[in-house]
Amino acid sequence: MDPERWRKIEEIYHAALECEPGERAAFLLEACAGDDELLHEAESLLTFKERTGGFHGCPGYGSGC
Amino acid sequence: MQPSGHEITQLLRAWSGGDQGALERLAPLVYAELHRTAHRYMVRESPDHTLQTSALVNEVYLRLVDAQEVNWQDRAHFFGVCARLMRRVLTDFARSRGYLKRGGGSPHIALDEALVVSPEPRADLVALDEALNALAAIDPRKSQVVELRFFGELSSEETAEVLKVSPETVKRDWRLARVWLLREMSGERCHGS
Repeated sequence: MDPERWRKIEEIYHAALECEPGERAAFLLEACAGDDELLHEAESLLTFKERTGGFHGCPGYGSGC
Repeated sequence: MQPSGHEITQLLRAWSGGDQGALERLAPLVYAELHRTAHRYMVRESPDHTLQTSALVNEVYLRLVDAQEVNWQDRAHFFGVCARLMRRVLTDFARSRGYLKRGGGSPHIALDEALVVSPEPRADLVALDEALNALAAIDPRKSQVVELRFFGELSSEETAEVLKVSPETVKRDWRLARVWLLREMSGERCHGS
């Protein structure tokens, strides 16, 4: 994946996390502007974050998480 | 001849100050000591003999460096080089025991617990090593953040010092990198172009 595209995904991913859960889907559609691959990648990462506990439970790293 | 703690400390300070040549001289010395110390724990017969990587690195630090002479930034750089070398030591050990990359399924590494050196190397370290290489290809800094935090157990602040970015950047990088790596190791990633 080219780094520029990855930076875009990263930007959308972090912005989506800031959204209220009910607004996230609409935000993603707008931010990805018809780019299905981008949308798929962002959704996939967000889904995986939910599934793996995301920010919670980092005993080894103190407040850094 | 084994260099003195003072010499190693001088190399460490020069590297923190931007002298890459000093790192080239420092790395083999640290690797030898780290390898020796790690193997002492790995070859013990009882799996109960485990040690957190941070404790191991600390042991090496105290043996090699004149702790009185270094500030926290130099110390962070020392732990930084150890993290990189620790990844190599542990992954090579797992590979030498015949562990191959895991194919799919849920990864065992959660990336949220302290890494342990023990006579039972974790097979998923090989998968993590390969996932980190894949991450480095698209985002080298995130790969380094994981290396420093997971293999070296550096704090966000220490990681930030080594990479010359802000601690906030380190925290953001860590959060996304962790999710990306867990997905990569699970084999669920949809590889796009």
